[in-house]
Amino acid sequence: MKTGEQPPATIGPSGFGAVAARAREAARSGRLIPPRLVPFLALIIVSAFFWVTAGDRFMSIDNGSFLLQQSAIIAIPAFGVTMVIISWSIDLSVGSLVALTGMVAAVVSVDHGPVVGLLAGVAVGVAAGVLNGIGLAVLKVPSFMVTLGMLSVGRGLTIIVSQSQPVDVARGFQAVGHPPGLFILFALCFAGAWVLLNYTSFGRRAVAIGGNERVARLSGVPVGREKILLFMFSGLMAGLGGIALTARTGAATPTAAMGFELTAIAAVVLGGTPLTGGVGSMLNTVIGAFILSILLNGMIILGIPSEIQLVVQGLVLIGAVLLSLERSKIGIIK
Amino acid sequence: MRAPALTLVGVTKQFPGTLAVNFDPQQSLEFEAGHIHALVGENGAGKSTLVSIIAGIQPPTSGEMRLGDDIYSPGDVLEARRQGVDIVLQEPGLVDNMTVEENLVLGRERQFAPFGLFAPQMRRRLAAAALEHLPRRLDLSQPTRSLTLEDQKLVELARALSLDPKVLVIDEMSACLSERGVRELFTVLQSFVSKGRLVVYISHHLEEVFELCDRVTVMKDGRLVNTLNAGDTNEDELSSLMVGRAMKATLYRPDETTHATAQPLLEVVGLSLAGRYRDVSFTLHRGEILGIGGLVGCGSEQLALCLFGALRASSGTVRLAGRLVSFHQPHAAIRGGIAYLPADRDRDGLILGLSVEKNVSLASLPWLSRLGFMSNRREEQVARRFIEQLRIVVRSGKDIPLRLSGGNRQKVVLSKWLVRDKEVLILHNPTRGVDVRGKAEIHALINELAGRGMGILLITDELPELIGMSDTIMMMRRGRVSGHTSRKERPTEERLISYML
Repeated sequence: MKTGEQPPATIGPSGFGAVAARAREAARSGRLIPPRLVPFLALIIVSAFFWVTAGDRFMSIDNGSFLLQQSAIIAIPAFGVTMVIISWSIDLSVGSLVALTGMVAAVVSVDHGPVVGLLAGVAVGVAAGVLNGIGLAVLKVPSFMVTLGMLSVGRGLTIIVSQSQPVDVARGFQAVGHPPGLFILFALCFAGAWVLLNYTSFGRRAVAIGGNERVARLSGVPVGREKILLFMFSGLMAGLGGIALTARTGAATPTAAMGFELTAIAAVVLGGTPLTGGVGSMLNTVIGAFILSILLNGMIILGIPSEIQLVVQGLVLIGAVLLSLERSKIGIIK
Repeated sequence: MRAPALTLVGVTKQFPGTLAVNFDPQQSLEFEAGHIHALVGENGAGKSTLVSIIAGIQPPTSGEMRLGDDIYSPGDVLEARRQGVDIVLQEPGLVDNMTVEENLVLGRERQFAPFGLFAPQMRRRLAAAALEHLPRRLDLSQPTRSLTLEDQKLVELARALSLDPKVLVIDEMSACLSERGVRELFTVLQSFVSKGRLVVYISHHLEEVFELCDRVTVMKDGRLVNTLNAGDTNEDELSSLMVGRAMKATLYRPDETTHATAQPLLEVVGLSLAGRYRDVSFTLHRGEILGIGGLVGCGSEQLALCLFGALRASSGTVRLAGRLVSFHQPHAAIRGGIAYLPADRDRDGLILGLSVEKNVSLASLPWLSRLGFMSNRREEQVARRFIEQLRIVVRSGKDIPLRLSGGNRQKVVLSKWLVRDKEVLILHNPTRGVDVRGKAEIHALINELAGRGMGILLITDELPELIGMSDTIMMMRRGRVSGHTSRKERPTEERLISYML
């Protein structure tokens, strides 16, 4: 076999397998920037932009810490979404589940204290995730529809549990939503998700299902069980994100995390994980979360009206998908 | 002198890390009109890449093509088709939820939709005219997904012919065809070139080349080795040109070696799957290679899927090593010791974008992990072992199968099933689309595995392989067992064909 010139970056660490594949493609098409660097580059450009336009209001220690906290809140549920997207499914229910779990945690903590409250919130997230998974794996409803349904169910339940009132969290609860508690939670979630994806058979099975579900099944991957576990993981991460968000704001509100599923998906996709499954990386999701929170924060500092922010966020999501989709794999866009 | 129908000059195609096609700058390959011109070579010799360039699927990195006297440089398949070049590939190429009729006229709406509205009569006439190219009758209103793979390929052939191309490329199509289908293909192609057209024909079956083709071009490592008149050469010469050395006739296992024991391993009694096959019974012994033959669609594939737990049989019993088993999922069958190498490796056997080493480990994840944690180092070692043992041509275990040739892909799938010792190995067309050397290697491996006491169920469409490899042979026809024979009886192809038809 002949070995001609090799593009740089053909062989990266395992998490970057995908990105390496795209780097090869880029080398062929003659693009200047290897795609694996695009998310990092985008992060630098976005930061530089707001540094120039907003100056010290953006580039300050206080704002830096705020950005880190915001990124953590986005990234934690996005880890779960990353795993689901790698298996070529989608989870649209995370926004509602973040709200529901946060609300349940707050309500329970009022009578039973923060620890029971936190556990209850997480348990609700896991249970909802399992239900998503059963809908997909057992009842064979496409994940897009199951989780769209769960989005509605979750929001409705949040309002019921809250009795349409904001609920203040119990004392001691706030620790998980502020430094250093929040950062510890974030680090644990990242480490856990990273290990799960790259160093466990669970992660490998998710990659295989996303790569080619038929082959995975014929190679002995218990596809149904794996899908339930994947959505359970997503529910767990949504639960942890929900209690962190509630703790950070100090109160659970029925309308918390509206549209947050899109934020989480945007973070995953901005990080460079394609919606077409089979590849992805947790580190990239962290980068995506940073890009997104800098963008949101920068726009607030610049005084851009919230409705415009929504428009920008939506356009950024579409733009990110545009860049990351592996069109060769799907062929037909529906 | 008349210009050749198709001329390729100095064509190269660069992929990252390899030159898949590598003509010298002034070297040209000429295809004469009125000829069936074969391209032969080992897997990875660059045949498929070359014809994909001819068909406009991908552009060459350098070089020039001429159609007659005109420069020919198609931007895509449609443009190639407009200029009179069409291709039928090994892979299915029909829209499978559409009917035969709809597929046949796809893309020719202008010819049956005068004012943008479909005229059903015109469409039917057009489709019927296309089917006229085939010797066999097919139902126009049937959805193509309910056709056998063979019929699907023939529909594609009819569609290509109906556009009356100047050049028709046939890439490994016969691999999907039964004996009868191959006969029909030959007839069709011969009448096509008699009208002064050109066929470029790729096949791993050298006997087809001699029977059908006028000229043969041998490729090796992307280069042109030689172009010969088919009448002036023979299989031995072609084989030695392809591998660059003389090949002995050890394609199959040495004759009287048998590892078959009297110990029953897989006992199947009265197994049926409604609408697919009925009342199939056989016993596979340890060390035995049991060949199953039959036409495409005879039910052997569904039989394999049932044994592997991917389909549920409607009745009958299966005993594995004496124990009654009923697997509902492939993972249960795998745990029970059954492996299944599917006929279509790209669709069912490999995750094309996942590294070779991860593909190899896919069926052995529980063994490669402790409490769910993977040992990536152990995984690499396992993959490296098979890359060396089976001589898989890769740059490293991180390579993706998408970049590999057919034979190397098949070796990756085989490796996947050899990581852990299995009791029963179901192999479906294990050497389809694999070159001569790869075939010999895979056959030797199969024999070796039988020697280790595995039971091998060899389902194959290739009669020489069936005869050359099996201890016992079971033939199927339309879902029923139609005959048994064994190696001792020295069955002939003719006899086996009589069981198939």
